[in-house]
Amino acid sequence: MDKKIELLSPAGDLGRLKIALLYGADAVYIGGQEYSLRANATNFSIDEIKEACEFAHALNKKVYITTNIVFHNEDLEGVYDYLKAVYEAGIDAFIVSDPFIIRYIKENFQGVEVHVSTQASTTNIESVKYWKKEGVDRVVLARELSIPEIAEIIKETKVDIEIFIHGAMCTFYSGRCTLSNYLTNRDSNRGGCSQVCRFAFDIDSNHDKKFTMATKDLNMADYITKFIDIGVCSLKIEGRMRSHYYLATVLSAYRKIIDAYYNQTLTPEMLERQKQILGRVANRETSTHYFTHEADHNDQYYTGRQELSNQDFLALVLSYDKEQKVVTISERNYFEPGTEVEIFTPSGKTVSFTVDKIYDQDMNEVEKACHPEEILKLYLEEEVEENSMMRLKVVEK
Amino acid sequence: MKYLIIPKNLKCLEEYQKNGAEGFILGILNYSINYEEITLEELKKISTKYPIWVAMNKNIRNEELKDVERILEELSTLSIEGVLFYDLSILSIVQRKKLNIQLVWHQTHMVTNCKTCEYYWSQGVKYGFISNEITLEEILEIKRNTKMKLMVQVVGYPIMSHSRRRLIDNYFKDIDKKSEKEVYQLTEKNSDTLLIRENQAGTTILFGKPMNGTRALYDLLENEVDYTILDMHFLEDSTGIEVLKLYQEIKDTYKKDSTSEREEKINCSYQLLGDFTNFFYKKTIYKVKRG
Repeated sequence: MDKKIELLSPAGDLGRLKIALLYGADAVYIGGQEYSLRANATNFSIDEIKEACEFAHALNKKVYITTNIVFHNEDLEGVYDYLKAVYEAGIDAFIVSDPFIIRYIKENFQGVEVHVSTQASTTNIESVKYWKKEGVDRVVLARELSIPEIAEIIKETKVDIEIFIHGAMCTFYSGRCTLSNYLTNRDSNRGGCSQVCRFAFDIDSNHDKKFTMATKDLNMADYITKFIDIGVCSLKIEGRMRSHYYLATVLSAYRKIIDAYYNQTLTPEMLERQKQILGRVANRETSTHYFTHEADHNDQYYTGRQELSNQDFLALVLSYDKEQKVVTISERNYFEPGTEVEIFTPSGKTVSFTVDKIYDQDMNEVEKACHPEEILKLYLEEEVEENSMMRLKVVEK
Repeated sequence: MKYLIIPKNLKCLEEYQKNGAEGFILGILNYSINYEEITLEELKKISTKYPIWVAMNKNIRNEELKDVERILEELSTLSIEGVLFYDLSILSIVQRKKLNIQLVWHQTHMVTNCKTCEYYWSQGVKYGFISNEITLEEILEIKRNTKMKLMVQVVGYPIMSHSRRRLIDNYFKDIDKKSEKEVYQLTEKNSDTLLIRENQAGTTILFGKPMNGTRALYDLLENEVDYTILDMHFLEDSTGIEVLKLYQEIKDTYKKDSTSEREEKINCSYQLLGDFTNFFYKKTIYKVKRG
């Protein structure tokens, strides 16, 4: 094993960026307010990008910016000024798919990396070598490849390879889908994807069951050790629109798996517990897709699926008073005295307990926690950090 | 301007040629998506009779690279017009082996701006097949700002998306039945009808109406766009021939046609193809947000 594998998180805004980095991401990818494939995400202004970089760099972590739309002529005006402003804000890498941008960045900016986006659907050794010739530092491979194919690409090219390991999947090759353009007039290759692949269709009007193209989500927790062994450079989580709690949960689970493998402390039981935790924030079924097999009907969603609303997240920890042994929290979902809970912290600690009495800000006892964002207090013996999260206890099977 | 035909089979090539087709785009067995696929042996014969462009527009896998290299080497010895590529491995192999092949940048939905045309031009790619999702105005702007020779589709069912997944087969497995044909119609209450087709390369979804670029054809001719493409898949052979005859007439007369004569020919095309003008006059929204 050479350099430690990177855990790469999405971040839709500054708040989520901080949570991601505190909960174990080595780097985050963000979208600026232009040229990013998530036009609907909050996205970062130049000042926010600067603040994000300062925050990340202080933790010795990195920030990558997605500049991966497929450009139309009208998008070209101002693009070089934008790239310069982002570069000067301190970004560590540009994630791009359009090759004219790659050349421009390489010729004009020193000390910043260029990563080829999965939008380019790079699927083979020869294409990776092409990008290497063009000066690209990293390639995010297409999600249609198997583990042996990825291993072969790494071995033959020596290029840094990033892969998606968790989250929603595209049904079609990235970049090769314009369903949104035709059905909703939204340009999928410029950030307007309206997820037409999740619509339900009649097929030839003569079947009872609706036809959908949607796939199950991706979850590669069982294969992290394999990815480390074959020399993958970076493991990417999908979802710039995901919540703080989702990010904290997913990142801390993968962080624990990665660290335990490097420390030679990973046990089947520990892996199982982390998978259980990941399962609790999943609102759809998951699969390993092409990484392990030719994807088939078992990897698809058809009608009758349930997208579960998750109410595990009970509260965000705002502070801890060591003298009084009182934790101050901001409520998110209902709980009451007697609820079995656990607080998981950015540093990886988990504190389990049964809720006893609940107090409001002025230490008046309340019956239950049922007002989202209400500030509440609990007595707790063990110290927990700010930004820790309280959830329903994950009961080991 | 030359008219290039994407035929749905090899039956009508002569007829198309008689009526104004100046070349055909065909696929190579196992390496093409949405083109009539033929073997190298068949190509060797056909390319002596007709100007042939070869589409190798599949996403290539590691295990296919040797075969792709062998095919490209063979193609470089044939008198074909050029090779349309999607996957960069093809560009890389042609560059590395210094093969005598004209390349056409054919990344279906990504040929959308003049800067990237210039990038590929600098890589030795002299032709670009413009994406179907940009406006006529954008096409003409690209034409004005690139040295690349452009191909623009004006007729045919637009390809919307392609997946490696066998979406039809998967669906029928789920309902414990077998798929009985290659192409199905998809309908949804708020949307237009779509066509879905599955083959060895995966699944393709097409819009359910053919595009009719006849009005745009006049502008493309006047602006000396190099090639226009007529995709004959799902069209009756007789319709394809009629459209080609009409287009040949337009090419012969567009400089002197009055407005009413133009409108008459455009109306005539509506009878053959309907009035769906795709994105020629309709801009997509959700483009990048400014500031």
